Amino acid sequence: SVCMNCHAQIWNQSPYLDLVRKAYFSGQPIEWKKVHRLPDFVFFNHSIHVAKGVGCVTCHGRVDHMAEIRQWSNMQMSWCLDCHRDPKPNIRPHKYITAMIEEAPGQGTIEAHFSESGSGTAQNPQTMSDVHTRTSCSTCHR
Amino acid sequence: MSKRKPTTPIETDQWRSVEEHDDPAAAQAALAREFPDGASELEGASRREFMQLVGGTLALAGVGTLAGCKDPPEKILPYNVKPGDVAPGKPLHYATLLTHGGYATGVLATAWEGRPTKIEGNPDHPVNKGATSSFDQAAVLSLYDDSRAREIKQHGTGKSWNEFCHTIGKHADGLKGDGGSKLAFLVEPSGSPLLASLQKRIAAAFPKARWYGHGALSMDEAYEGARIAFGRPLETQLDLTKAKVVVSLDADVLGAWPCWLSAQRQWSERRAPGSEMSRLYVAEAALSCTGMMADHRLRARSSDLARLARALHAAVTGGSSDAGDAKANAWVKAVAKDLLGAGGEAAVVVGARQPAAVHAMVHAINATVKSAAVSYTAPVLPTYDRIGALADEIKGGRVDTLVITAWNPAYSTAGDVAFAQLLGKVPNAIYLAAHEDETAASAAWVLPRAHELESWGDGRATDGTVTIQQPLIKPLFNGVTTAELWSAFLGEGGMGGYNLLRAAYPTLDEVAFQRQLQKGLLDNTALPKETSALQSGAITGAVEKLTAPAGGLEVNFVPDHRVLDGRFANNVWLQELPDPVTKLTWDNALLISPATGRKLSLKTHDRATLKTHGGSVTASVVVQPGHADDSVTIALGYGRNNSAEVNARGCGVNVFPIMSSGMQSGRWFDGGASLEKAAHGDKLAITQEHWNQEGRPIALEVANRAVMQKHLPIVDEVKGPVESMYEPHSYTGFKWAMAIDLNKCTGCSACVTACVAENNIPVVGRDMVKRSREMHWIRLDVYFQGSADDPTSVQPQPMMCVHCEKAPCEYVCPTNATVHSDEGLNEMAYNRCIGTRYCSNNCPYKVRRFNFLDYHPNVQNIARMGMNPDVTVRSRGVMEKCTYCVQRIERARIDARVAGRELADGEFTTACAQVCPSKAITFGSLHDKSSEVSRGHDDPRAYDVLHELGTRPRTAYLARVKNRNPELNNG
Repeated sequence: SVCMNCHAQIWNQSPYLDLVRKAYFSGQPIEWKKVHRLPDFVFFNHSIHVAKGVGCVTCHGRVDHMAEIRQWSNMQMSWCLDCHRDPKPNIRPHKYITAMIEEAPGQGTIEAHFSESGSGTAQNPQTMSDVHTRTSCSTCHR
Repeated sequence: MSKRKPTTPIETDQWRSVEEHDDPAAAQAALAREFPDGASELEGASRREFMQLVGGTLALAGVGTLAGCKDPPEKILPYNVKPGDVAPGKPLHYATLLTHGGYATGVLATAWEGRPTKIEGNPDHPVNKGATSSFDQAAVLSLYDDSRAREIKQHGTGKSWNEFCHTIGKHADGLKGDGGSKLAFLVEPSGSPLLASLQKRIAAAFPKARWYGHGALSMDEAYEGARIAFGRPLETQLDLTKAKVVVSLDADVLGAWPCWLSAQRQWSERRAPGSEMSRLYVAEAALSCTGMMADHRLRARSSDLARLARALHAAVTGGSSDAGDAKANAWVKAVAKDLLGAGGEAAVVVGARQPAAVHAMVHAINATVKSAAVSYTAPVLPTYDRIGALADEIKGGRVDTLVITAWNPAYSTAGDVAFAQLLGKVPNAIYLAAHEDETAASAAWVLPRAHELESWGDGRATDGTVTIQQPLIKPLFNGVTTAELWSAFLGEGGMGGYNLLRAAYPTLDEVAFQRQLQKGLLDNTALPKETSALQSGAITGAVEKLTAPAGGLEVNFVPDHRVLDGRFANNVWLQELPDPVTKLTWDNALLISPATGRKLSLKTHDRATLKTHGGSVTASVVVQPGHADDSVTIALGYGRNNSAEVNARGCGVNVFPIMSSGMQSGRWFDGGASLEKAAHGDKLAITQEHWNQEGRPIALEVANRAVMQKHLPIVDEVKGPVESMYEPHSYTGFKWAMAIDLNKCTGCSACVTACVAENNIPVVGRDMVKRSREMHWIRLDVYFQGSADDPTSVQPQPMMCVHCEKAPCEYVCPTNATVHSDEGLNEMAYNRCIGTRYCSNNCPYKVRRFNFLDYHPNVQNIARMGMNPDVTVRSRGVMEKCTYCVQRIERARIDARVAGRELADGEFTTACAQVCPSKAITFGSLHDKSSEVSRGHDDPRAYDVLHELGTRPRTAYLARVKNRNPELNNG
């Protein structure tokens, strides 16, 4: 029903949206193919990454250029850890979180804290995101 | 690097079982292995044979496995229309209630996208204030019980609810002709205002219909006792925060009394060592949770307690009466003096199993000592005629239609009533069945009972607070509630649960009702206190009518700590939960004292035949230190061998057939029994001797609070630096830690069940428990001191991973599967674990558990809906242990950090700490010096278990300080 908020008016004849209309009128949800899959023993939380300034594009790539969604990053543990060990290059100002640009203005200039004891204030632009890097196993494996 | 000094373990005089007490060397030899003999072997095949077999199989399967390298594609099915409150991955909490013995406990149920997975206590509820019991914790598993009744059946033929309502509606019209004289209801007494109002309306429509009550925890004797003492039935309300002296006569006030959750909290508030510390006296036959906590425990047969109460009554009123023997007389004298000297801060509590006259006497004692801790309100539960009266009616052919909403009366009724046979004579027996059990087999109509998490309803807590029940999920198996079933007799079967409940509260407008629903209770609905004059004459009269203590061997029937009266028998979490005292799993047993065991040459695991006036059964024996002599105790609820409840099959023996309805005080204990050794049988699965302490002081105790000053010598002995060859870790942020106060822990084991529910801990079954393969992350050890017959101290101690700062397990893991976090957690990365078990071998606390088999083979069945999605389900060959509920830490941290603030103390806690009724467990971070757990660690009673090993555990235990009466030093 979320899609149909707009697509009831826009492109409401488009053959690409046949499935969406079918789901809307039949009440049967679309069976989406899962593209980004993590193993069951990995616990990933979107909200904290978004809140701390990791843009969509950083992990999912330029989905605006993809005819069909595909996995852009390798999603292996070393890839996660690279960023968890040095998040600074990937942290962007909040207003560019959803922006489909690889390098957002101001990206990589925001200081990240490297210890648990850090408590930056949300007002300070340099520590706006107040990122704490975490590399303990239980950060993702529980 | 300095060489580590060899440590000399300090000897302790504690012991854990009669075998260890009698022959410590032999017991030690049997336990020298980390796991008992055979724990690591497969059934019938050695490891070598197994490898040969598996090797061949793998070679054959090789081609197939290669092709399967990539997982099959997964599908995502989003909500077509997303429900307003639901966000996938974010659990919601709903206030509702669970009933226990007719009393409501306010709970918060956690639901993930509509699937209930966990129960917590409702912190806003005035009675349980956030605490819950093992029964409540295990409710989730009962909800997803695959073998529940699923279909409305008339003589085995499936019917719909509408068909039932139609048929019953017509049938009821016929019954109305003579005022319903052939209609009877068999109910479980419940405080529910909704059921009370429905009963009233049914009684108006069928004025001649009769109502009978049947349940495991009958309060009849308690109410009758108040009627004798005050002229009308009253509910006893306890406030143990106002009691400096607590006397429990067969009451198990901290483990099984109706209000035990609040009693534990209140009692533990007054157990901090100091001048305000309370003193607990217990007299009982079988050792209970309360008995383990007693400062002075008197072993007394249940039938001797009347005499004891009479002596106590005489002693406080200035008279004298013989309590039995010299020890009992000394006990009574000291207790009476303490009671009178407490200045009203005293409470005497008596158990529901005792006859009414004893209850009346206890009311008189409380009145004499002007107890401020005991007050009275109107009864919470209604009283009904007992099932024996119904049996007579059926025999007389005066019952045509019997509506049974009590649990399984065909099983849970004393043998001489022969209710199962009588039920077949009722043409229209309608049974609301949780399972198609013993009663369902003889009932004409069987209706599936909705689980409490599927029901609309209400109830009253022990103080009378009206508590509201809302469903978390649509009935999985077409279940209906008691209210819905009854409403069919009013022609309102189509109304549905919500409308019935809503109609019971006409004075609340919709906004107010929704607000109370959200809170889970109606504000200020506790019953008002009532005062009544004591009728001494009536009490004396009733006491004189009491029969003398029974001669010969006394038999005691008790509701079970795990399956109650058998209703939880199919719940494997509860079946595998070790009994708080005996540590028995999957069975009931004949509990006898060591002296009685010697007399009858019976040892633990022996089989014996118990003969009573009602018949005989053969069961296994457990020799229980501290049990009264010449007395045998056996729990109800086992020997369930119906075809529906598959998990309960083969567990223990059914003792209802050998009870007689004419026993003293209804049915709970009687003399004249005999016990004889029988042929050998299977060993019991008892966890008490698993994971032994090897004679080292682990559970510390000080006998007198007077000793408790700035420092405790016994604690100071196990303090100070210990040399280590390892570099210390440095911690800059949170330092997660736990403190467990042994002064408060009663061993009730609610934490064990909570941990199972939170952490997806598997159930392994009786055979696996026998091989010490149980998977519980928390074990509740019990340590005894003194003689085996009459231990001077019994101390429960919860033991789980203590998260060492210098963890022996971490050093030996070849794959870095168990590693140290920057916050001091000892982490388990399951996907790295290859199952060498070196870590467990090197763990001095023996808190690591190994998945010898895949204990979650039925993940396809409905029970997987109850799994906590925040915790990995471990597979075979993986080591696991307590994680300090790291999933809760991370969730709370993420929530706080997303909101842009730091995680504060008290924002979350572990599952065990959250459930604990006595608040014995606290969890938090040591980096915050003002946190609750920091205060625990700084307490002079705090010590590290096995401190001499230098492991620097993050869990501190607070040594138990008893408050012994100097005048009673011998017992």
